[in-house]
Amino acid sequence: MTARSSILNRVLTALENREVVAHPGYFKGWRPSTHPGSPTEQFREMFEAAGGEVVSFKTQVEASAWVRDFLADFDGLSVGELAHHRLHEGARPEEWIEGIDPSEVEAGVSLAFGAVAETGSLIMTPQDGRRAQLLPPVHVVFVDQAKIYETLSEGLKALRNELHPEKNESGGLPSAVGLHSGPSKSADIGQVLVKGVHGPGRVVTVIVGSD
Amino acid sequence: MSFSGPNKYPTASAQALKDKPGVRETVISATNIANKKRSAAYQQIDSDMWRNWGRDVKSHVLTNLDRYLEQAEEQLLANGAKVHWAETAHDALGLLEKIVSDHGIGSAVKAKSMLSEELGVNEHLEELGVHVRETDLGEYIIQLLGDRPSHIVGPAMHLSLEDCQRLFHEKFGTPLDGRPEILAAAAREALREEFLAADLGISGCNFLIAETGTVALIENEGNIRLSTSLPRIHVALVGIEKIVPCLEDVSGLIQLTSRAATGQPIGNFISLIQGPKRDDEIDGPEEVHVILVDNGRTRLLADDKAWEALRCVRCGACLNICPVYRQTGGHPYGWTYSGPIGAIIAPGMLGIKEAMPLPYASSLCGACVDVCPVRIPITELLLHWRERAVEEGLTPGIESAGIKAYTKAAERPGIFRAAAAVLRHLPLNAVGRALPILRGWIKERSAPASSSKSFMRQWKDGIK
Repeated sequence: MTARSSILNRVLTALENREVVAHPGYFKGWRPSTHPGSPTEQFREMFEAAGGEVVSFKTQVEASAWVRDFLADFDGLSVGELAHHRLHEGARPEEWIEGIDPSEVEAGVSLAFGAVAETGSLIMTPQDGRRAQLLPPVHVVFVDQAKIYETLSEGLKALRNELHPEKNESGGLPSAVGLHSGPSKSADIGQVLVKGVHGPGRVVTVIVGSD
Repeated sequence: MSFSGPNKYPTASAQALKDKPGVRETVISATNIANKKRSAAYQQIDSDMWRNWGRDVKSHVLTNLDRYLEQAEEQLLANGAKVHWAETAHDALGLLEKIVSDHGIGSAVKAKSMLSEELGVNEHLEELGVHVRETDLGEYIIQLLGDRPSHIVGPAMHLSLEDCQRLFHEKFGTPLDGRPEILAAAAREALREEFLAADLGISGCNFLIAETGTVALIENEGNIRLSTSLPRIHVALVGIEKIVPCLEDVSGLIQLTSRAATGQPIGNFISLIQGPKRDDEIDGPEEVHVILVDNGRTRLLADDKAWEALRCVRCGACLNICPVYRQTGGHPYGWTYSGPIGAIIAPGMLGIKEAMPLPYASSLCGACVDVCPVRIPITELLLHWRERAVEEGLTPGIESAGIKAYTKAAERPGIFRAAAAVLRHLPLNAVGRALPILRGWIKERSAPASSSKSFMRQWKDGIK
């Protein structure tokens, strides 16, 4: 007998006289009261509380100009494919350098699929490269205001439906999704909070299209 | 250093209190912070409703486990991941060994995984000549010290800032009074090279989503995302109880677990891993292996009451709040899982004899039940295992003899009064000798002198 069948057999035997518990229904994030602000306001509040930074702009052109200015002093940038494409809509795309190993640069720039208000999370797909999202000490992330979802499950559902509406592979998800909700941090040394352990110590969300 | 085993708990805990008084202080201070954060995070939500929901989702999965395991396997295979099944730790290590030799693995980076501690992965890989590096900062410190994790979530919780400063001074030459940022920067630099060079990344799994074939992982440092993104092979070690039905469920459970564990609305990094890198993606591992591990879980599942302990999401809240755990930290429990949750899963997974006397390492105060995000009836299960221990004759012989003698005496008022009169006039340590059942209890305590009158006498005279 294979390990698989003996484990499944033992599970079946264990459950023989066990009363089956019904699924309680989908998680609705029950709260005593819902957040008074818009999803964007809630996202900002949550993301900043976790140590992240948020700036917002009405247009992509303004956002790109700000990011370029912000990154002017950094030595080496790693720009994800989607983020780069975004930046072409803005000013002076020829200044952006692609193809640098993310392990050797000071900042990475990516485009998030979307964001989640209830948790203050950016939804990162692998299209922009996982290394660029993780290795540089500073991570700058564009996100469209229209894609800030109220709940995590709405955000993940939207990701699944938009990327692979046919839902063939992994119910529509790419190989790996990262939810980034602030900078890398740890309190493992003497319970003191330290930022920038392994992952980026600074994460700047750039919201595009705010009112 | 290997675990001493639960049986050594009485001596190990006494020893810890005597030899390492600093551990008690450090653990109490660290768990105070954790308790405060969890309590605040629970207050922001309707925690009763969330916890009821968490309980029911996990119970639903456990009572339909066969079907969800099959669904998860099917979906993982469709995603291009490889799925293996391991009945025992030995089998799991064998599977890992095969992956190592098939791919010529020379070095591995590890994301924190309690299951890998349970299986003894590091020792085994080192025996195979693989360079293994823990990458969670706490686990890294533990590995450098040759120590064991003392807490499910904060493996180095028993170490003070001074302990870490001394270690980093010896290891990296950082100043003896170096601030935590300086120590963390030294670790970041050393570990970054290892991340970039490793052939294999090993992770655990917080939740395995059956519907999408997703390994979900919660963390704060980014080391899990790196361990599962950089090396060409990723192996996820998954306990078979980790399954959840769908994405919507994991959306809730990730938030509930984060709030219970660290008081955060969500861990700063969540990985949702479906499989290996696809053709249109620029990085990620070439192969993803999922090893589904039993190693005593079906044995626990078969117990009519204690199966509920398999709902555990390993948040560590019951450890943080436990007045017994807080005195010593996790090491004296002698096993991977310590505190209240360890005491109720050890008898089911290892066997009641092997787990003794952990079900007794509790005052049954019930604080753990009040904080558990999936409402495991921990005190009920501690009592359940104590009953089983008595049934199987595993309680100390004198204790059962003592109970028998007491029953006999209590049924005969004359004997009872006479015996009680004798005990009242004995000093406390002699009472311990006369009533062996109390010996262990008295050993650790002092008490006021006994009254010369019996309680019944005082009652009749009017208690002053």
